[in-house]
Amino acid sequence: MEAPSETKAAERSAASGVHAATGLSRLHVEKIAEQAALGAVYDKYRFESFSRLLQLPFPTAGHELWRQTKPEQFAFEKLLSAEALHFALLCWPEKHPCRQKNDVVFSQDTALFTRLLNEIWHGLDGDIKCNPIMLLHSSLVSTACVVQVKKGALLKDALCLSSMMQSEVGAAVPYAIVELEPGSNVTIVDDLDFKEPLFLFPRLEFLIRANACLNFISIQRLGSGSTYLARHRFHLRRDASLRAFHLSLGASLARLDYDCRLYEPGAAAELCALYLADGQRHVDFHPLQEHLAPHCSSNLLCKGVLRDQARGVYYGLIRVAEAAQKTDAYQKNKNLLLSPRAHVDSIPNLEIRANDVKCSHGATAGRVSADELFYLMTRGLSHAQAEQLLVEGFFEDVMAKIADATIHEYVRRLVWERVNHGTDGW
Amino acid sequence: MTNRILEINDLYGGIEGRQILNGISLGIAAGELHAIMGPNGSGKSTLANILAGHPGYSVTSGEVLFEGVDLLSLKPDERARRGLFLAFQYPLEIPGVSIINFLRTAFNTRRTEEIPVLEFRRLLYEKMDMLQMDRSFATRFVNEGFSGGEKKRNEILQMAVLQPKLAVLDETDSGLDIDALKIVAQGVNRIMQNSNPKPAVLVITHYNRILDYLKPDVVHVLQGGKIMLSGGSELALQLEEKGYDSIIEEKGTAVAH
Repeated sequence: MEAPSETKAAERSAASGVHAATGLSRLHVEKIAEQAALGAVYDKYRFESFSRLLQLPFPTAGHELWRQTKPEQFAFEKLLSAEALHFALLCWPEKHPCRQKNDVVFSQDTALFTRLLNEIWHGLDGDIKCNPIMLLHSSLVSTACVVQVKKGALLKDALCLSSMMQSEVGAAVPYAIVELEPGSNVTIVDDLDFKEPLFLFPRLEFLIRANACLNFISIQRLGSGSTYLARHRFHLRRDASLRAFHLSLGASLARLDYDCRLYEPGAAAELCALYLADGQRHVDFHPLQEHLAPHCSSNLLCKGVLRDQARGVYYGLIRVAEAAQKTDAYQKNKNLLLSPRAHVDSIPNLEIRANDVKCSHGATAGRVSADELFYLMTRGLSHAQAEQLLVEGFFEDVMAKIADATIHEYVRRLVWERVNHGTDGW
Repeated sequence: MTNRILEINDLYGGIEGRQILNGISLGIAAGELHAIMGPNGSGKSTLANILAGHPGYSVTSGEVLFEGVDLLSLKPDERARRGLFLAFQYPLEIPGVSIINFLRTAFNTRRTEEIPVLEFRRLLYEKMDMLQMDRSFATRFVNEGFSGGEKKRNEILQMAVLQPKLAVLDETDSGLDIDALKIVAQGVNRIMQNSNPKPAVLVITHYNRILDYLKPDVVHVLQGGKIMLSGGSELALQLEEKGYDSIIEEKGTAVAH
């Protein structure tokens, strides 16, 4: 229905050189390119992205993937003044510089950056060329970094990609590319805890080579007033293994697209996510499990707790290509609503073109059981304590999937602090 | 009379507008064990739920005093912290919450200072050993995947840990095989003997089998939401031999007068 007007807007954009939906002009892009100074190769893709962005319709609220979280909720114009961040690769949790220098390359090494960019643009899925949000991101990138874990390296320390945030940064558009060379094994923690209001628009790209193993924990606990519009992309090769866990606690508006693509046989992904939202927060999680080769498995478990007038959106998709026989893919989303005005839209989807697969999905939303509350209260727990215990219990199976004891405790403490904040709201 | 833990006076109440209790009066002192027996639908579970404060049940008139305090004005958790305990007829499953975590939280609600984790684990293991529960139950999720007997034993474990002043056991005996029944009943006896001050226990049942192991001081016969008859432990035997109707017919009027 809205296609004609979208197309018209795109035509207008193309003619004027200004992107109608965001106000982004070629002049802005040139200025950002100069500030970011990512080199000629990146800028070639940056300007290509901008040209493509101008040609394409930008999502509107009528778009299938933008029906629940609407594009106009995002103040895209803030991104026009996105500032550079300084990335540092540190050990986690101590935050000292990484010692295993021979095993990890952290640089803006032009040759490596160029090789990976070319692969991302030409050797992977075509999304990057036709998804307007990704094109907008590519046009706006204000900081970029590359991490390479060397072939066969087994890193004992967890790493964190820390971005030093100058105070009063209004917006940032970081881009990180992480390559795990064949047979390498690493744990990476991404803990976003800036408290100042901010529009953060990051993209993380993980290239997980044959038989490599990535354990990735991302924690979003931005301050209220912040907007988070992120995309994590995982690209798995033969026998690669991914364990990813996302915890969403902060920001007033948060949308995360979580793209997991299994390109070659034997790849396996275990994905977990938790979100807690209170007040007027809006949290949106869009996981994709795309199977492109036979004998791969992916399993996603996502749980959310919403209270007050918080709004949750889950839009999950398992897509299985015709070639991806013997796929094993599951996704489950469960929500617990702690107030009558909290709301969640949970939409799981399957798109299966192969005929010999095991796939299933499920979604539930429910309230705390009055009988369970009563049972706990007859043992002396107050209503609030009983509710807290039930919320903790609700999260337990997801928590149990974090194998590393230090990370497990860290995540548990963050969740506990949030849940335990009492009935006055989180 | 003054050492009565619980005093129920002319209690009327029910669920969803249906009146089930029709004037119950009853008093229990510390250290006493009373049994309430009655056929299905006589109001036994309604009484238990009203005592514990289930929000689905309502009281239309009458009063309940717990150590002299108006029990009905208190929330379920306040009743529990003052020392009331209900062993559920159908204990609930709480997924993701371990027994040890749940019981330590409950235990701490009765204290100003939290009990150290190790000390609590010792206490819990001691009670589990008494009830012949495998210690691995401590970290299992509350009642999830438990057999009927394990659930009931878990209720008595909670009673043993929380040390109530009054325990109401709502059909704790039903669905138990004879071995489980013995363990549960012995557990209750032990808790009564070892506690100081001794708790009062109100056993609600419609079989007298559990009374082979628990010696009631008083047996009450409930029918139609009213206590028709009260007597010593011999009453339970007579009930079994002759049935509720004939006993009530035979003795009811005499006692009532």
